[in-house]
Amino acid sequence: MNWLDWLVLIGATLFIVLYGVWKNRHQQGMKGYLLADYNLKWWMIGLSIMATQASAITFLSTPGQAYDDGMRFVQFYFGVPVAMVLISIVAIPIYRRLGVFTAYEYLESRFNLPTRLLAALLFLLSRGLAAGMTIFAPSLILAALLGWPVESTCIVMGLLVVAYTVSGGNAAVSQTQQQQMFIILLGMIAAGAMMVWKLPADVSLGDAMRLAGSMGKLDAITLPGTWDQFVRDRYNLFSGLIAGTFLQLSYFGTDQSQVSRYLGGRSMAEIRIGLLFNGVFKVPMQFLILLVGVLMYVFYQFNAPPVFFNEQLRQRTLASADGAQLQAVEAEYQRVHAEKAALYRTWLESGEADGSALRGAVREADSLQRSLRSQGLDLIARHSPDGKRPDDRDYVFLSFILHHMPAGLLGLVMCMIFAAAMSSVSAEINSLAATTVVDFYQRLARNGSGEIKLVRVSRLLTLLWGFIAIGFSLIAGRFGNLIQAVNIVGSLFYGTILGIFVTAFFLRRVQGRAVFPAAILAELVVVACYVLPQMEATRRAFAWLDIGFLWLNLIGCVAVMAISLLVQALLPARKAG
Amino acid sequence: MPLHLPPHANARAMKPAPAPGYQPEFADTEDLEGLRNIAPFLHSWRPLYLFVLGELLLTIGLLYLLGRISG
Repeated sequence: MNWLDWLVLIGATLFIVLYGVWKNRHQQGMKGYLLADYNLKWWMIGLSIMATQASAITFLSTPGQAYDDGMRFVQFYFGVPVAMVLISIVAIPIYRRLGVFTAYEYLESRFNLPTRLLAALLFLLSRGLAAGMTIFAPSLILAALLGWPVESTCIVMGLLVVAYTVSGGNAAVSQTQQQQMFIILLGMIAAGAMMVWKLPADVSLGDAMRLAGSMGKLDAITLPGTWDQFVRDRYNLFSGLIAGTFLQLSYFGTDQSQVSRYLGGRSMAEIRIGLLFNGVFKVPMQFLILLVGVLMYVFYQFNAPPVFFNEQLRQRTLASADGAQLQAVEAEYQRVHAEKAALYRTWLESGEADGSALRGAVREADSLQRSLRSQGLDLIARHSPDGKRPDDRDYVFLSFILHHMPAGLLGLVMCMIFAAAMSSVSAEINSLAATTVVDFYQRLARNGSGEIKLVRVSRLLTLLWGFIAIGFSLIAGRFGNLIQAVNIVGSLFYGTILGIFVTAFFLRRVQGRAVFPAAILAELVVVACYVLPQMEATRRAFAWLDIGFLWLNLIGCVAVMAISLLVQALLPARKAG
Repeated sequence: MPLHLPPHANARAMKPAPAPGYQPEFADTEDLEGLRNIAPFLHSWRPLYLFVLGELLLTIGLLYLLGRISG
């Protein structure tokens, strides 16, 4: 990065932070601090919802995902529009009319205090860990690529977010998210344009799409052919549409980090249109981000890619006893790549509509290249921290921008990654503080607290959750698979939380004394569904339970509803007996 | 339809918790006054919901075609 990149990065980031602090310096009451004084317009809500979901890791990982696996990841988002419509119809009128600060408040009015506290606690646990990871994940990658210590990127990013979130609350989060979203979109457009511009002069955008299509990278819709594929393949049309809808319903309808984005809307109509805005633009936005990854794949068909994109780990291997062997693999890899690029050119120049003979040769070369990469990964795995085959998909996009973006634009894309991280972290720590204040402090305090004191406590808790998130991000690197572990924990709880809310909305005869034990039992069912096929002792007996993550959301939700109906039916009989 | 904004936070804090089993009134699914303020050409939420779901189906169809044509 040169001085122009640093100027763009530091200038834009500091502007957003200072703007957030200055614009919201006069926030007074709880309504202002936690609900932005019911002043959010529909487009602010829509952008805020999108910015909260899109963390830095989204922009780092998604193009890498498309580079490796093509467009099919887009199916993961098919549940979003359906969820937006359902939440607009069912949840928004209830939240709005009750005037709740958090989604969990509603559960007390519908069921009882223990159910409210259980749901709030599950949220604090999973989101508290996730906030640390939201800081840590991009910091780790930026540190690896820029040569900074991980701790410094974690602390800098964390403190910047804490500064404006503590001072301005929900309004500051929403207002800064507008600028962050603008930078994010600008950065993605710049990256996409650069991919096209960097293609060889004789390769048009149409050629690029034809080439990507011939390698299966544009197969966005995958239809499972067997029952096994239906339940085990993580991204297919049905897992996205059915199980994905349950995940998105839980995330957007019951996760306070999203609920707090829209509760402060000016009116119910503004909230609904904000949600529907997300429903309309989310899938196309993800498609475009994935398209950047596909174009990057085409770019690397004509420009030699490294065998492994995590340069730090590659250098460590090169410096070891395995270095000579890795160098030999890399040399062979580049030779095969040059042959493949020549075949592509011949294929494109021939103008053949099908070109099956050439396509076969290209696929053969591609297969050989993959096998060489696999050999390289085996060597690198010996020097990775956990001894396992490392995954470099998160590094593909960053490696591209660091090596191929011109000065100024590199700073803009780095700024995009910081903006995405900050927009998610600010929303997370704001919602963690809101839940702690409203669902625990304010609800359980013996004496009512004054408005000024509550705002002071909210600020203090925002600061505290910010420091917890930074602290967790600092130690996160010591646990090898923590990113994966946190994602699993999140998925394990979402179905149960959604089940509590769906029961509250639709099963009117079910009461709190039934839903509370049902939620605990359902959680055990979900955990069993995940753990039993993984454990050595039970793996064979429960192999049939080995299903894709997304389905756990559906299982958790249905289990809460079914068990609570059963318990409710049993309870009066026991009383009578 | 007038909005029922929440009472003062402090008053809410002192308000006793609603009885268990309390089911808040299901609001009608249309907040037409607010909708007309933003989009005067719409008279119901239904077209908007159908538009969002229709766009999803169209997107799925186009993506399927893209894969078939390019592959």
